[in-house]
Amino acid sequence: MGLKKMKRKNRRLSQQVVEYILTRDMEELATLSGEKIARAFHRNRAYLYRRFKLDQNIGIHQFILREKMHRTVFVLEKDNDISITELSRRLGFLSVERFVREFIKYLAIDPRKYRDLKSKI
Amino acid sequence: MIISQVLSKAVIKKKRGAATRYKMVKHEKDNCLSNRAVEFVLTREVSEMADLTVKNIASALDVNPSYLSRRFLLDKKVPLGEHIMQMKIYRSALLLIMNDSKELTVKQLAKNLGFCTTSYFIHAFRKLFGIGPGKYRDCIKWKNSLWK
Repeated sequence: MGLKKMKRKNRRLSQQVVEYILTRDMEELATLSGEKIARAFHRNRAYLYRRFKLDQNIGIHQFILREKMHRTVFVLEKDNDISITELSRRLGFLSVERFVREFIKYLAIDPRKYRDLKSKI
Repeated sequence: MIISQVLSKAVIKKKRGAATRYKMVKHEKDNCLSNRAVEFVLTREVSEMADLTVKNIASALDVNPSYLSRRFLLDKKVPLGEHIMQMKIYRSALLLIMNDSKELTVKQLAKNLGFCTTSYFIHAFRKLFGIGPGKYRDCIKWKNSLWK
């Protein structure tokens, strides 16, 4: 099935997927993958990916990554004691470097520096 | 002959333009200025968030606004205006989470952050989070597991 045929047909599904991702807690989000979501919604994985990308203009994997970054911000805001290494492990990143790079991509600043700036205010 | 003169002038002009552009690209990454801009945006309080524009940031850092935004785009790979918008949305999401009771309405939030209309705010929010601010507030039960 081509992309043309899928135009604006099932927006509700991707909305549900977004809500599904947002309502996961930390442990579930760390191990969340497109495959798991597809299984939860009883859909074909490739279809779900295509559908989501078409409606949200962003891939599922990217969306999960972004959601992780949002949560990082909230945790950093609230909890001053947790270390960046611990945080990246809890979010399911295999290495701290990868996590830091991803954070810089979204917020244009190093997570450690972010915390320092926040604690100053 | 005149035509050839004009042509050669045009060529020179074109070359010069290319040269200056090249210079800008080739220039060492000046992360110092962009980082200062990022820090400036981050350390604003919510009340100051409303009048956060490229112009204001540039005047606070004593540089030309267009230079700042060009520099920022080169260093951070994202336009400064868009970055400001993202920071505003992040801050609004944070506020939504902190006051989870319905005291803070979306309308108020949009007004506090300096959005002209509520619908514009919701549109920007949806673009970043994939869901509207009102629904987002209902979706954030995970924070209970985060900190007790």
